[in-house]
Amino acid sequence: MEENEQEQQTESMFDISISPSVIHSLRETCRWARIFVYISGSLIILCVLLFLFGWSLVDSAFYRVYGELESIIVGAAVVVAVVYIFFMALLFNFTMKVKKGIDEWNIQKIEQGISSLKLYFLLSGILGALYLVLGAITILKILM
Amino acid sequence: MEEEKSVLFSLSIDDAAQNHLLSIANWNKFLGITGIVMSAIFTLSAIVNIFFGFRPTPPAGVDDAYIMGERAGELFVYLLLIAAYLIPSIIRVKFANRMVKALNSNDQFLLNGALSQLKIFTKFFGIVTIVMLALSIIGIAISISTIIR
Repeated sequence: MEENEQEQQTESMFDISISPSVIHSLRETCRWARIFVYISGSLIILCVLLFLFGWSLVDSAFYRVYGELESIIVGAAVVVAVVYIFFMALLFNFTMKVKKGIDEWNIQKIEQGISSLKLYFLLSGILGALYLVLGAITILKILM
Repeated sequence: MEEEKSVLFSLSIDDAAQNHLLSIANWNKFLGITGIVMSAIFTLSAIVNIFFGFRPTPPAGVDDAYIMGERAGELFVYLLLIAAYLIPSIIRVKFANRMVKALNSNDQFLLNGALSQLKIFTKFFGIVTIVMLALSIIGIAISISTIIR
């Protein structure tokens, strides 16, 4: 019984833990991520409000610049905005869950937050890979 | 007895959290390396554009010093953009390498270092966002004042 307890203690001592340094890094990461989310979110909301209330102005401006492609460009802009909002939501979820987890000393909440962050970077990676592929195709087309 | 209590009541990073952190590290490594490669490509295209790119014939009365100043300004903007892309990519790769090493070797010191890099990366983006917002507000204010006049 005593040997098992000693073994567990040894295992715990050599496990990586959420030390004060880790907590400090996580808190700072959450703080700066929240600043990024609030500012980006405000800009997106401004753009959406401009789009909704100044639709005639936006429509004529887009038509002047893009002509017949206007509807495609507007559709693409809406898709990009929706994807961006989803990304910001993931990041915001990470900041709130990790902050709560640290405040309440709750590993489940910290894990949920880290899981959100993982999804955020996973989707960023997929988009980055798509961007690389499209860039490579464009360069090949130009060279040929 | 007290040491045992502090260990029992501390939070440790279990398997689920380790898997999430490993996944984050791997994707960041990919994004970081992509960013470094893109920065290199952008640097090359900037050099080609500045020194060999097409330039319209300057109007009469414009001397070489003005043209050199214009190119220097262009170079400065390119360098800023390259730095804004390269620096976070390098930080990402450092974070990823330290995190993977920390999780593989169960090293607390490396984990602290890795999360410190993540903190720096997020801080960088936070500061860049604030600067972009400030510049946007100044730009909008200048545009509005120009329109009003």
